[in-house]
Amino acid sequence: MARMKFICDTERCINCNGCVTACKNENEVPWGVNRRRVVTMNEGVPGEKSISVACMHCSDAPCMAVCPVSCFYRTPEGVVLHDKDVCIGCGYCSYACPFGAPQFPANGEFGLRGKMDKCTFCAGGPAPNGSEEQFKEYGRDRLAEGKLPICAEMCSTKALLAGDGEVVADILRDRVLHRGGGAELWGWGTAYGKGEAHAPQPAAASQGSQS
Amino acid sequence: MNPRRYLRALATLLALFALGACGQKPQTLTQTGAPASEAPWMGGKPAFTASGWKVGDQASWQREIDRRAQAQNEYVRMR
Repeated sequence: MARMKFICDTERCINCNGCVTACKNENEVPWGVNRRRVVTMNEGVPGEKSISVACMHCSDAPCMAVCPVSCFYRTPEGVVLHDKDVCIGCGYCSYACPFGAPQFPANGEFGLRGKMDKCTFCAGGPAPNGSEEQFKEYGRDRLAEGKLPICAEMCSTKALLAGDGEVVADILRDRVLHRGGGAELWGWGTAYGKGEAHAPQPAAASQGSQS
Repeated sequence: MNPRRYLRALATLLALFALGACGQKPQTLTQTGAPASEAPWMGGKPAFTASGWKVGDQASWQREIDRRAQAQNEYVRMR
């Protein structure tokens, strides 16, 4: 069974915001709600990096754990979705999510918070596939059309990858083997520590790509 | 009827009516378990469905999704 995942390759993301625009257009997301956004670290400093962030469809999702009305569920494909008919808009998921994925439409003059909205991996929601009800509440159901999320499929530099976790990991592995890399890559130190001795050598990388 | 008793009875009735709003309504969560979502291989809007897989066939849907995912790898396309 597929386990759907996103990954953003920071070595490729050029902060074009194409993914954000495509998501808003495809799902007709209302003003003030961004299911996906691009974050730039060290902006203006040489070596700045951008990363496209949305719901990461966590395997052990904290939003699911804190929801008081259990409106979240995970599909067999590993997509974390929620039922807007059950959501009470309390905002707990927003505090729990490390990616800031849950969004709340502000409606009315007193800043009333609506029901939570987030990335659905273009998989719609609990309403019937492809129905008008599903589109209005959750957006397009591209997975049911045999397609991947629009943000990843139209990414011009293919920085944002989506699909079955195994395939996505294969693609990223292929890239790392081709371009080499290691400790100089952004985020390497956070993930594996500062020690450069453990970084793969370019020679080893090129050997890997030939095999 | 003694007017004082009448007033007392009226006040009691009014108090009962006013306190009626303080009653508790049942707040039990009616949703039990995760809502059921239709499997993606059961198809969506036919007009937008990608060719290359058969609606209702999970294996062909999986193949199509993997093919599209692999299409994101330009190293494969260049080979």
